[in-house]
Amino acid sequence: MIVSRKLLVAVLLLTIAVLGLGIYVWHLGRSASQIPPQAADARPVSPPIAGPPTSVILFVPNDDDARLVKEQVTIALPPASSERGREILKALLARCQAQGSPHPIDAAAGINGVYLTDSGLAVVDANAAFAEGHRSGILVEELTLASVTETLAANLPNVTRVKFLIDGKERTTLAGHADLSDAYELAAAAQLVK
Amino acid sequence: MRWSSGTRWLAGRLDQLRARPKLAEEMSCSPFLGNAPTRSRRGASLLGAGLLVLALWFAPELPVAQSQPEQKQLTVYTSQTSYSLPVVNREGQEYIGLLELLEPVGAVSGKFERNIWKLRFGNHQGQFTLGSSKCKVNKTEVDLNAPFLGENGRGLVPLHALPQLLAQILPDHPFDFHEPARRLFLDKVGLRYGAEVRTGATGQLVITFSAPVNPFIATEPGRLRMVFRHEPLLPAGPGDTLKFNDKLISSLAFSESNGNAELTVNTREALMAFFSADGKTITLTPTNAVTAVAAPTQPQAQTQTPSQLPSGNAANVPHDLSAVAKPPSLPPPRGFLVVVDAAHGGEDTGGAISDKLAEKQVDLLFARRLSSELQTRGIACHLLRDADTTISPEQRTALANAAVPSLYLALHATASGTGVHVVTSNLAPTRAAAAFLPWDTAQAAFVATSRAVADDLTTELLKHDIPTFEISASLAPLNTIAAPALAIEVALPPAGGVAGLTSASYEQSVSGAIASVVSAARGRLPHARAGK
Repeated sequence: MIVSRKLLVAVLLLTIAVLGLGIYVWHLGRSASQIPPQAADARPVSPPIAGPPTSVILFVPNDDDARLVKEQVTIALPPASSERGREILKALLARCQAQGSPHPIDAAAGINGVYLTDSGLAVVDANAAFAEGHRSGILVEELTLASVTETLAANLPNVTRVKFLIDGKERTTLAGHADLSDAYELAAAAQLVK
Repeated sequence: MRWSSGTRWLAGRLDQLRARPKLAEEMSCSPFLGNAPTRSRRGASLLGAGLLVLALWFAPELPVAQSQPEQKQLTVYTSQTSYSLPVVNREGQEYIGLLELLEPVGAVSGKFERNIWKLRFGNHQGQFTLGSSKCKVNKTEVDLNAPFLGENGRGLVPLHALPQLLAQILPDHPFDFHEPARRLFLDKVGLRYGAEVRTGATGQLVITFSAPVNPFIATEPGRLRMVFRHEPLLPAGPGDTLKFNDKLISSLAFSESNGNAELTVNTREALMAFFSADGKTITLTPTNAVTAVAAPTQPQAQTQTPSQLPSGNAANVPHDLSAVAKPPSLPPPRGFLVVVDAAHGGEDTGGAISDKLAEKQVDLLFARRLSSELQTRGIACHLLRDADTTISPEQRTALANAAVPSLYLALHATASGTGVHVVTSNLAPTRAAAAFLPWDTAQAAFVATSRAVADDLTTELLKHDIPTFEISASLAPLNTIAAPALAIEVALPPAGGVAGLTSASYEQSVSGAIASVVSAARGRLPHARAGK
């Protein structure tokens, strides 16, 4: 049987290609085996924040001079007001939880949700660590409440007072001093703004 | 006893050395100590020599610290309240401020016109001439036996002349003046007591009083002392000592000096005091029998009530500074009165100052110190919480408002931040107080005055180089207090940390500044009228 020369060349080229691909696949497999397996992440997956990067104002408390200092940061903000409020407060908490913060807040403190009403009342539902892990003292507690209220009011213009809940429930004081039984008035926070 | 800083440092070093078991073992238990000099023995010798040098170095400070003279004072007991005034020595005579003496009794005024001091007390008028030992009260000449003095706008009269003066100024108030003890009893007030030893398996001394008492109790080897600073305690009978035919408790002696009355129990064993019958009965029981003794009707363990923490060592602070758990009582409304409220207490521990020190303890220390400072300035003062008791904000409000105070001061402490935080209510001020005030916003009518006092206090504290921040806040029970009201949060001193917070010097500095401001603000603050 006469095998055409062209066919022979084609078979040879295909064989070389198969061998080459085999070597490449073997190399990829070897490289993949050398990458350490990723640690399991038990954190709940938060819904992705869909929104354009937006500049927001934070009123960061400063223990040294008992004042709120205005800072500007850029974060992704969703369109809905309540979700925006929560993301803004998360940014404020992150600022206070960072190393060297002028007003340290417990690392586990978080915001469950922010709910806005037409009357200018914002309801901030914080987690238990926000209160349980908070430092005790009239001034430090007052600074935290004033900071949250001023920050919300600066970015959500209708907010004039804030009612604080802890894990959805009312609480008498934040950490033994600042009264949480009534809504915190924006006017009360103004005295601390630098 | 107040220790100097050097002595405290030495005591601290000794504590540290005691806390090093290895070194202590080397010093005291080493089997090699009796042999030829070894490394451990040399170390112990060197250490001993070093300590001796240090002890000698600081020794001169000890007598100085221990021999600080006690401030002379006159205590006045009325049917409404009791208060103490400072007594000053001038040219070998003891003098007292007459205006300060009369102020808690009724409306009084005094002013200098050139060298004549004119006093008005109700319908009575007096004229005192500077440097003259004669004065006129209601047109009657009174011999003072020593010159009348004026200092900083105050009229000072010799203590010795008080009976003659009071007979003219207070003709409707019978009085009894114990001059050597500097105790003045107005309106026939007096507190009697009786005592009996109940022999049995344990042996107890039961002392009953005609009214509730709250003495300062201290135990010393062989005796237990009860000092009555505010109670008009009088001897039980003609003699000052009650003797008992008991193996354990031999006698109960009454004495009085420098404005205080004292009962001393002579005993062979350490005793513990239990209060019952709303503070009218004190039962003294041997400490080693306490567990076997049936508890009194309302058992309230009492050990010692220290006026201050041991300085510089917060870790040694007992968990319960004062276990006396008497229900808070009310003084009747009258004159210029400051209500001092030690925040938290009982189950409400407040914040944590350190691992072993709760805020409620420091609050009480500062409150007691402030109360003492106010009384030294002749200001009647009522301590709302003088024990480790739980009082709700509503109870605090009810107690404070019923006392009709001229000023309400709530004392807090914190380990966060430095200096002092002066806090007023964040209510919007209203113009005038109506006959009836809404509970939740009663403070609104007094906010303006409260803030004025807060301003003065901030200025005064800053003068003492204490960082001070003034804020308004929503803090229970400020909004419900129907009188000028401040909360004062004492944070860490600029240097010294937590130990500095409880140091006597810091307490003194802060309390002294507050008391000075209150004293200066008397004219601007309301005075309750008698019978209101």
